[in-house]
Order: sequence, then structure tokens, then C-alpha cells
Amino acid sequence: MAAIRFRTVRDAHGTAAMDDLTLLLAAILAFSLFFSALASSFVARSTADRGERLQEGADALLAAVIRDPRWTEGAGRLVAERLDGTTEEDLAGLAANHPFRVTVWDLATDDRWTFESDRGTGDWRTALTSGNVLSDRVDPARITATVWE
Amino acid sequence: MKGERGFEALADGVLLFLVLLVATGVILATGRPPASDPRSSGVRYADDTRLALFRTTTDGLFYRFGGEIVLIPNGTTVEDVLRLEVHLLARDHRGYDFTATDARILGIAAKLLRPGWDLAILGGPGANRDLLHLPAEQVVPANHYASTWDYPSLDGGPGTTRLAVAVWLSPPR
Repeated sequence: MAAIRFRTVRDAHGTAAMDDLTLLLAAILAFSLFFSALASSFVARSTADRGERLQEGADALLAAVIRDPRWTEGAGRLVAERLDGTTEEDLAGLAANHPFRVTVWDLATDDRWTFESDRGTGDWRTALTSGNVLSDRVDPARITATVWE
Repeated sequence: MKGERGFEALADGVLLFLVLLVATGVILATGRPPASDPRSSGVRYADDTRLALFRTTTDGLFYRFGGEIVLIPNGTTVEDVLRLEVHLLARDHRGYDFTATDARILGIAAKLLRPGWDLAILGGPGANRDLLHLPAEQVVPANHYASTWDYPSLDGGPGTTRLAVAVWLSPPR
């Protein structure tokens, strides 16, 4: 049986190709890391910005609702009789064209006043605070404002 | 054996990798959205809760003094009841019993609070002395949001009455 003998052959072009391959692999790895970080950073930032804008919208709507003289007597003091006569259209201007829902919950009587535009489909944020509902007495109340995209 | 060009290419690759690694770190560090400050919204919520609680009117409240029941007029606000309580406790800390009234006020406060939040009502004749601490066993954590108001003394004296509402996320964040 004839012995098989191997002989090492080093080709100059082959060696150069291997060197280039090393560089290429390092570049691919580095650029992958770089661009994935760039993309995730962009997505995180834009998501946070959108959420922040929505939260600001909900906070602004809540602040406007608890101060609007059409149904309040001072900040956070909502008059039950005036809430009865309030409609969604009265609040639409305060929501800056966003779909919204505002709920005033009298915690003593469990009466609730809900004002709602067409429900949004996207992301949403809620702002909530304490207040009072005024009738022949002053009841504790929870006021909630939700804004959709 | 690796040629001179091969080492150069490897060094270039490593250098490129390091530069892009640093750039990636910078992007991740600066690209993270700034955390919103929960402090201002917490303080605002404490203010709103104190105002809503203190403005609430009550019916059927009373306190005991020396075995007698003293009725508090219907329609008295929680604020006035608490001012009276602090005023009387400052005069005679052990003689007055506001247990039933305190329970009613805490019931109103508990309804007002957002789910996941806790509350304590504090009050006293001076800045550093709490005669009133509701609920009595409630420990106020260090990172709470407080809303405080000072009132003139009910008997027209020189001192003031301080009432505060402290709220915090439970468990605290």
C-alpha cells in the first residue's frame, strides 16, 4: 500500500485572503454592534418621547378639567349640578384633538360622571388626582383623565 | 507564517472594533431617555390629596372626654376636625379620645388614595412635635411626599397648628 504523503503548500494570495477575512469578520462584528445599538437607542428614545408627550397631554387635560370654571368652584372643587350638564363636546377642546376619557368619581355617593370621545386604538396614558364634588356637602372624589394617541 | 500585511490587517480590524465599541457605548449611554422626575408629580399628588381630604365635610363625628361624648357639628370639614383634635390634644394629651373620628377620617383618606399608595396624617402644635399620627402604627418611609399647612391657633394664642399629609408608593420605590 503506497503511503500518502501530504505536502504543505503556502500560496501568497491565499495568505492575503485569510488576512483580509480576519479584517472583514472584525468589521462585520463591530458594525453589527454599532448599528444595532444605534437602532435600539433610536427606538427607545422615540418610544419614550411619544409616551412622554402622551403623559403630558393627560396631565394637561386633568389640570384643565379640575380648573375649568364651567364646572368648578376653584381648583379641584367640581360642582355636581354643573357636571350633570356637561358633555363630551365641552371637554373636547381641552384634549388637544386626542381621543380622551375623563371620569369624576364621587367616593361618598359612588356617583360617576364619565366623558368620553371616540376611543383611541393606540398607546394611552392616564393621569389621576384627588378632588372634591360639591353638592349640599363636600365629598371626596377621584378624577381620572386618559388620553390616547 | 503570517505576513507583515496580515498583521497590519489584524491591527486595523482590532482598532476598528475598539473605535466602534466606544461609539456604541457612547450611543447607548446618551441615547437612553432621561428618567422623568417623580418628585414633582409626587408632591403635587400629596397637595391634591391633602386639599381633597381636608375640604371633605363629615357627619356624625364625635370625641370622648372624661366619659362624655361630645358631638362635632355635621358639615364640619376634616380640616377643622383635625385642627380641633390637635388643639385639644395639645391641652390634654390623654384626656381626649378621638378613636372613632380618626377611623372615619382614615376611611375617607383610604378611598381617596390611588391603588398602591399609602398615607399618613400628621399634626402638632409645632414644627417638630407630632401629637397626631394617623394611623398610629404607620411608619412613614424616608422617601415620602408631604403636603403641609400651618394654621393659627384655635384659641388665638401665639402658636400655630401644623397639619400634614404624607403619601408614598407602597412598597416605596
